[in-house]
Amino acid sequence: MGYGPAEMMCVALSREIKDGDMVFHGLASPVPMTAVKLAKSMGRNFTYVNIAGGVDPKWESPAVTGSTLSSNLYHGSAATYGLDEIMDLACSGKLDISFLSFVQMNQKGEINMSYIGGDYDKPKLRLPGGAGSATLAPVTRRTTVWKTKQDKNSLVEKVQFVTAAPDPAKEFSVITNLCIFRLKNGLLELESIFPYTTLQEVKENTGWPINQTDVQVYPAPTAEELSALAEVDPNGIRNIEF
Amino acid sequence: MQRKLMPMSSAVSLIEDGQLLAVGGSALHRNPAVFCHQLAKLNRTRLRLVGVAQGYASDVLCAGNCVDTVYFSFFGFENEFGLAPGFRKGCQEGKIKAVEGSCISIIAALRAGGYGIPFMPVGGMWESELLDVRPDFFQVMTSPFNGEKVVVVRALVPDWAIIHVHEADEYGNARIIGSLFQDQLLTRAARKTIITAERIVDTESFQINPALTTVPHFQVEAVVLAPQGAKPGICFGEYETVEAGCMKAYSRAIKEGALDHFLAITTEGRA
Repeated sequence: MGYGPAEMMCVALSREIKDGDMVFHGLASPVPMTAVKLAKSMGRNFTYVNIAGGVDPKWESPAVTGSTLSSNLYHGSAATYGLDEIMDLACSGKLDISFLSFVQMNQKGEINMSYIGGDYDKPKLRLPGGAGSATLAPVTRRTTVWKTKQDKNSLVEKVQFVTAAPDPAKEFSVITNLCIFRLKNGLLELESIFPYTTLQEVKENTGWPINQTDVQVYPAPTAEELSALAEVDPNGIRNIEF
Repeated sequence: MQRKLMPMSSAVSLIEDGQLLAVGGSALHRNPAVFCHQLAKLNRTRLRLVGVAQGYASDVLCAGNCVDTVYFSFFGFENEFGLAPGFRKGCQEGKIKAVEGSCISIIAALRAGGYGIPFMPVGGMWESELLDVRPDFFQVMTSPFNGEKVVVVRALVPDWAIIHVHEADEYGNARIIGSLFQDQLLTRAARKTIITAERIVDTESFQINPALTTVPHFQVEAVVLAPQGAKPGICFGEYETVEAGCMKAYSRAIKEGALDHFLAITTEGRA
């Protein structure tokens, strides 16, 4: 069975979820939503909360829109839990994973979701804002940041503005369409690359120098994972971000 | 209980220049869109908006040059519908002051407003430059109990919460079905609430199970019957896909400076 970056990323995000985790993603998050469904389908035993207010909604029902505020993230829940309560969970140390994204990120894992060019009060491009990230990145046990288009405009030497910053004492990883970075001693280190790319391609699409001459290749999706993915996402919602 | 059912035109005329409005829903979901179409036509100025994840309805007011400050943690339409063009243009031209927080900062500011206290500590936010650019909203304090540093946000008391609901009675008791987003908090924080509703129902339907009432009548100043009042966006269980054609026409209108024309067509035949 074939796969591309969309399938690889959903699989890689889903593998970050462990038994017993409390997992959250926000709005505009089709890839994490699909990864959560995949992890459920693969039998992972965890709790999933989201901005639609759902608590473990019925993951078997395929999503029909990429909006991750939709009723698909609510139906089948046995309880509701709102965004305000989820943020309280995170701040009191009870959230294991949040999935976040970014427009720009530097090697320290600092994220810009606020603006590009000009200054804060008269930006050249006003971005949508970091939503929960300024709170979640420093307080969540494990933050996983995803980016479907890694290039030198997204992974940059210097961000224009720090909307959110990780706590180097907590786990922080970045999963892109090409590879996985993990924060070590306050800096992102290349951990592995996906089977369809090369170290050279990753270097060419990273705004900070990568000095490694060798890197491990991340395990490809299994046949079981790919068939589960096709089943939980028959409408190809995962592709909306690509 | 007092009857508060009124036409849309009467409800929108309650809004005055310079007021702080808490706009309900999230991104393209259950916004008071039809209310904001009509409000934008009144050319109010210096409005301030607050909401955790603001979307279409707030953007219409930004596009109409009615807004000078926005408190938000996200302002956009999600995925293929992209950035919010009215808000973006207002910020980029330096006309709108963006007060960006994280979700919990906006929530905490509204909680403080509703609790009647001047500010509130929030978790996280460390190393975020959002703190540096808006000292009028964020400060860092030391806990008087153990010396721990904590970020605090200033209370916000909206003059109005404006929310779109599934069902309301003529007195203002209102019920949202499905995702509430932060709408209940908005009504608790605000001085008064304006409800637009898909349906007007009997009070008895609230009395059967009062715990399912999202907003009680005494918080509400106006109730407006507004079927499909969240379109072109989504309303849980009522209409669940975005009207993409309308969103396209909206973006085009903003690009071409033709918002008035867009509003005239969109509101044609609606009171």
